[in-house]
Amino acid sequence: MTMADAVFLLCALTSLACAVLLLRGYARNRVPLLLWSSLCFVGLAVNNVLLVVDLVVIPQGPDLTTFRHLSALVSLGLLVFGLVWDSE
Amino acid sequence: MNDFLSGTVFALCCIAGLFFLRFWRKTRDRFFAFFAASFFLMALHRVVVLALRDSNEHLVAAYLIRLLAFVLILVAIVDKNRVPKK
Amino acid sequence: MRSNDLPEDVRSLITDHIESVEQLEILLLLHQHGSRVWTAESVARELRIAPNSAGERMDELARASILARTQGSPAEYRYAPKSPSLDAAVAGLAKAYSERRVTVINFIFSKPVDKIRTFADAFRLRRDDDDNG
Repeated sequence: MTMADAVFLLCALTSLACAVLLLRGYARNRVPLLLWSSLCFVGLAVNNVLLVVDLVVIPQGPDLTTFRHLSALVSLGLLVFGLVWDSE
Repeated sequence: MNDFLSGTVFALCCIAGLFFLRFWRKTRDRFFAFFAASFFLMALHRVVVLALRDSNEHLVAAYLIRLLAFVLILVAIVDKNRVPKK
Repeated sequence: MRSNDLPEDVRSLITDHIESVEQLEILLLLHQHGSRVWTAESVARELRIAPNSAGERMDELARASILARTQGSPAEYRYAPKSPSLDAAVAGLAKAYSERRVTVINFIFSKPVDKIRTFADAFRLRRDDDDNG
């Protein structure tokens, strides 16, 4: 495993950890902001995994750039929706 | 198409960063400062990837920024759990 | 009487640390008697509430650095706020409760869920009732 792999997997794991903590918080408190932000971090984890796949696993294969951007877009979209709609 | 998507993500990261900045100002909890910095770095990452697109450097520089963004989130979590509850 | 008639520090004190009327009465009892030491039993007798409940409320107040708690069994508690401003807030609360009891009680029951703080609190790895190690 190269350094780059390790870095991106760390990012993915961090995102997943955030998602889990926020989901646990949502289970306790039912504040919708926690649900949206946890989905955001799940999406960011997916985004990081896609990055690893695109750059390292199948570098010669199909370009996953659009999918990576879409996953980031959906993630951040959910977070910003939650922040705008439900942060107060 | 990809540039448009990337630009949109850049804008959304900035907005998220601004919200966290506001939360920090409101609560004085530096947890939110870390999150704000993290999301602004994610935005910066997009810019750097775009700017360095034609050079060979882009992988290293841009993705170090992304790494830093996530490290800051880890720092935020560790810091939140270190400080004794007042 | 609207709750923004209450002074800001009193409102902050309630928002941050007072979850119930029972807890409020316990705090004011200890505040009233200055440096006297109480156990959960003695407070329960005085206020005619359950000793378990009294003990838990006082533990919460001790964690908030409003009461001091000694180890040992039975645990003993004493009014010991960690700062003069906290002491002033408790004094303000005592005054407000004696003059505008219903307003204070309404304020306790109408505490809005603070969504932003809930977000940050979700990242606390331990549950709230654990002590930090």
